[in-house]
Amino acid sequence: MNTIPQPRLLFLLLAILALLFLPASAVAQHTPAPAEPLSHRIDAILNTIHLGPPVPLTGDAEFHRRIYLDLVGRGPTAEESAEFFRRIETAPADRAAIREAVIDDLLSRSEFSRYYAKVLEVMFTERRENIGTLEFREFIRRWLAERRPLNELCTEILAADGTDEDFRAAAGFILNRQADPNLVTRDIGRIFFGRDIQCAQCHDHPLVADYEQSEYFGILSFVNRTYLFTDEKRGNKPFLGEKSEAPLEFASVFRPTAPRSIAQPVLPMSLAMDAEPDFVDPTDAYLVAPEKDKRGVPRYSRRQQLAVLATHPENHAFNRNLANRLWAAMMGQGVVHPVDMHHSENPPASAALLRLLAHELVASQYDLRSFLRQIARSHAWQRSVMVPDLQNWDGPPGGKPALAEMLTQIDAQHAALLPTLTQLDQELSAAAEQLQKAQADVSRLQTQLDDARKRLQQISEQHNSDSAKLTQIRDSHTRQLQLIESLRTAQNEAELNAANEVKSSLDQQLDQQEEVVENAGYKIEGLRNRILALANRKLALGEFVVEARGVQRGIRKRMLQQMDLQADLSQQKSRIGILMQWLESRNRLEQAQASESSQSAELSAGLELRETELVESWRQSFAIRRIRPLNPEQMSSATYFALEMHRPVIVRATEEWRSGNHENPADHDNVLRQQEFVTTAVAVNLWDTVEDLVVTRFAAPAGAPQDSFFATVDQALMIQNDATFQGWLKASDGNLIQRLEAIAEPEQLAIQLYLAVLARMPDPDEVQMVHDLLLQGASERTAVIQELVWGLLASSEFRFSM
Amino acid sequence: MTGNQYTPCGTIDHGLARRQFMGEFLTGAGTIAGTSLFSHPIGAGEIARQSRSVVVVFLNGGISQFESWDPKSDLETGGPFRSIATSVPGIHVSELLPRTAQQMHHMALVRSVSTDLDDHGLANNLVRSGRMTRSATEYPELGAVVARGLERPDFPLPGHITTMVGGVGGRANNAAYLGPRYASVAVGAENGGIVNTQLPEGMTVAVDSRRHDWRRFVNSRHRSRVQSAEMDAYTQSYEQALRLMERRELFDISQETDTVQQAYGKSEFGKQLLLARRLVEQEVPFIEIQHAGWDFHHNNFEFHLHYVADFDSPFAHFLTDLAQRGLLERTLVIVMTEFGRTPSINAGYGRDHYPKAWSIAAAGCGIQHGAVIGSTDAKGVEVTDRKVDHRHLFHTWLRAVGIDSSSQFDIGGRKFPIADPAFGPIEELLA
Repeated sequence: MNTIPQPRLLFLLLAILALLFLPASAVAQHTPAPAEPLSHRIDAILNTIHLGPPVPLTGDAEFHRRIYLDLVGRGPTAEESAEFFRRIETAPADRAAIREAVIDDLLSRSEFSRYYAKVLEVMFTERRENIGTLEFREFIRRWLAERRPLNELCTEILAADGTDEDFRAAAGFILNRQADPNLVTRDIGRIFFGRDIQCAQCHDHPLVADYEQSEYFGILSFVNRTYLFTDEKRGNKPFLGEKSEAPLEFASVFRPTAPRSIAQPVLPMSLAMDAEPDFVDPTDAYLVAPEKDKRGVPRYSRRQQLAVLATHPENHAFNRNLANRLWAAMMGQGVVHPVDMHHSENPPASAALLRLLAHELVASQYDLRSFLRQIARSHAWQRSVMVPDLQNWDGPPGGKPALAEMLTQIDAQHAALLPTLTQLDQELSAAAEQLQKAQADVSRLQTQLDDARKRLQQISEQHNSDSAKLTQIRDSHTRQLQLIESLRTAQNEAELNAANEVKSSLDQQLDQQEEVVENAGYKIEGLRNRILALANRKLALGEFVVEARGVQRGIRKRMLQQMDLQADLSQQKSRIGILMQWLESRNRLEQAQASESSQSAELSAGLELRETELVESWRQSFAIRRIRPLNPEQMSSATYFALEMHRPVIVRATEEWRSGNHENPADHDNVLRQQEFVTTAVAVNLWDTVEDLVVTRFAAPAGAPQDSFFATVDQALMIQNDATFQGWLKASDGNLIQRLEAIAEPEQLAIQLYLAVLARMPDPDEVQMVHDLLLQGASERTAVIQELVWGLLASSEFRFSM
Repeated sequence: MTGNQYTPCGTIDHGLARRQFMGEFLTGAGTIAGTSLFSHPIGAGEIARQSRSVVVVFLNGGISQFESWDPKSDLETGGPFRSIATSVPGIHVSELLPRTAQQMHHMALVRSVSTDLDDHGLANNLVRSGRMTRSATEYPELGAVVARGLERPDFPLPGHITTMVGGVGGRANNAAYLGPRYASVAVGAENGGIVNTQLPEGMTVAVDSRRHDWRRFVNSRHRSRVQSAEMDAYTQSYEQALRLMERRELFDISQETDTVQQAYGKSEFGKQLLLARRLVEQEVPFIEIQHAGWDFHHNNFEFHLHYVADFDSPFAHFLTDLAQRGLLERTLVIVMTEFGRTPSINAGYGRDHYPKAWSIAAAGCGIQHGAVIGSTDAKGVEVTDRKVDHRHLFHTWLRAVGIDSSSQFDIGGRKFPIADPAFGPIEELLA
């Protein structure tokens, strides 16, 4: 490294950087363009609900840092920022196209798969470890790099049992939760369907009317047969086995005396599996019966059924949750927020938007890149965080009368929805009755089946003891014949007669017992046939249950649509209400000021409160962008790249690649492989250096929701005093400190400093400040440069994304 | 029930003052308290400077109730030790607690605790969090709840501290949904304190203050463009860190005079109690001291002879010291353990785990001094009167320091009842 002369090093770096950030694939996307791109449709919906002044798109520097953070999990490097600003400066009219080019470029990089693997891994594991973080991330990264559909990734995660090495990491979702059925149930509810149904474990959810106990047990019935199997023959590794057991029963802790309900494996929105086959003997239910050293594999796996149903395009709860979580990852806030609280008491900011996003996610065949591309292109994503100037805004056109008119219309529309909802409610009740009837028929057959099985077991046991007795009699009979034969040879007449008498009694017993055994055999055959017939009948009747659920699903789907409309009307009503209150507050203040009333101060404080409320309502409806804290992974990557710790790694990895491979810039594949080799080296180095230390301080604990912000003293203490952290601020190997040391001119130094850490140009005051500090500390220049870099890293501007 | 009953120590205004602070502060932390956590009615008045603290002495492993708070005269199972009179007529404790017995007028006993779990880890979690941790649910421990409930905005020290002797500690994971802000920070009593509270090697105070001035300049530029509560919370955490570094000596018990150190004794437990007293003086909301090893399946009596002695003298002095300094009236002290020991004595002269009938002791703020709640039968097999469990106790501790245990936490739109809503405090234990 140190033997390379400086100019050559720089040249090498530039060449490598250009290479590294080349689009990974030149293959065009073959998605049939809809009439109107999703990004426009998102904006169309959000524009109709926003009644405030127009909010501009964010500035170029903010856009650039934001898009890097959101798509590749780090800030742009100084070179990347400089290049972007240069392009904008050269063609300011093409700003929109240049921004789109940046979005496309980032989405095509291998860095994108790498970062999103982290985002999704954290979403699935919530930092619970067992299957290692890196292993799980690598599995997801490969999936994303191959551009495979997201719903199928989710299918694999629910279906994997850990035995297939290629898919073992996918089993981490359940393995990391020790296959604890209640924990797995809750987290499938939260992470796959956005519904935290945990409190419905013991009774219907006390706060949320939508979450019924049956829903909890519906999911639990799919997973409670799955268990952790530790294989001694394979190094005590954990795997997932599955049993085939009796159905679950449940009762409310609030109504312990009410009859217990039998849990049916059903997902939210009445999504249920096919009628479940029955088996004559319990052992028939298995491909491999579970034993101490054998992993149970049922013929009919409920978890496999779950994997398919949970991630099926018809599963609206799944689609909405996934769309909402991806939206939240890009926007810092879900359309439904918190993201695991989808229910009627917590309506989406815009149900129309949520519906659109879910629909388009399915239409794109769950393609992560095209979905995120559209979000990133939307004005909603590109909005400024700045609050518009309300001093000079007079309210929406038409003022309060227009708003009052809107409210009247909303009430009318609301009223118009009610008959449909009432009707749907009735339909649902009728359908529930149908379902109950069909279910009752199945249950009756189940009872008969259980009875028949019990009798079969009794008779089989009797049969076994009868057969044993028959064998005994046969043995005695055989011995008796031998005795008679020997007596005959000995010509012992007296004893012979007695023996013959015994024999004829044995003959009789033998006949009788043979008949008993034969009869029992017939009975067993008969019962087995009966069980088969009953099982077939049950399967056939099960079809009616399936059908009844289909009807229910149809109704629920229409109901959801109506409820979406309803939710949007009430949301708009409350937004109009907030706006009207603000207008009123301001009018009152203006009047008071005009009449020089003593109430002015009080009214002014009141207006401030209204204003806060108003602005917050605009943030919630995505009219203004929220200032977002970097997530722990972004925080560590941003730190690592800001300090330019990647530079020496790239140089070393490239040398290593060249020493073992023939470099051929004309060969696209060759270029890609080199790019992948180098980015992997950087990712590994990032993990080994910054990631662990930073994530430990900045991430919520394992098992907790990972989207909460917290600022603790230990974070600040780490950044201020930790020896490892301070070590990164030492000049070495072409890192930022070394690069800045080599810049003599203070203004240039300031520019490079700001570009590298905050991805923007410094303003004149900031340049001046840097200049002054460098002058004051001329005798300890390196120390001052370290302080300058440290101050920016420790700043709120670095910690947050604008 | 009047409001006064909930404010046994301090004035009614504390709640208000803290409530006002908290409103601002919690917004700053990015979480908004939907309801007041305080049971006090809102009243006008000056902002009180006093604050409450909770000190938990956790006797890890399970102290025997027979050899401590609930001695039995039954010769077969009561063990070899006699019971002695205390400073409160009519209350007797084991003769192993001669000094603590003289502090009984500051204390109360609950002799009718009855729980289900006899596994150390699970039972430990049970009494700390006041609820049964179902597989899918984790609850914050008492310390996190108190740290959150008694939080003040400008407070430079962590609100939830566990003490240790040597070394420096980090942040634990015991705040569940309340978030890491309320998780315990381990603090060493000798030459350690908290991790990263010393300047990096080679950095002078001058250089440190120069870099912070620059950081503040960068922040002020940022804040002039945009503002958010989360941004302020982040920049504040640096100032809080600086104040904490300035007060490092607080964690150093060698700052105390020899006489004081002698009085607490040189045992690890004594040193931690002394640290706890220093932290109570600083109004740290919650401090936990661990005294481990109480799991005597063998030679129960011999071990208790030593262990209780190790506990008795420093603990009694701790109460005396707090009382003399006027701190006890605003400090709740709880002697916790995870379960009791069997009334029967096993072949190795030991007592095994027994969650069915056991005792807990408390002292100081908010509780009825000299009270004895509940009783067990002659052999200590069954609770005969006023059976209570971890859920009642959790409510009681919170209420004793003025936190309304019947309200909910609102954490970013998710609602969590503070304590098990189906239960309430032991009213007669509250002052």
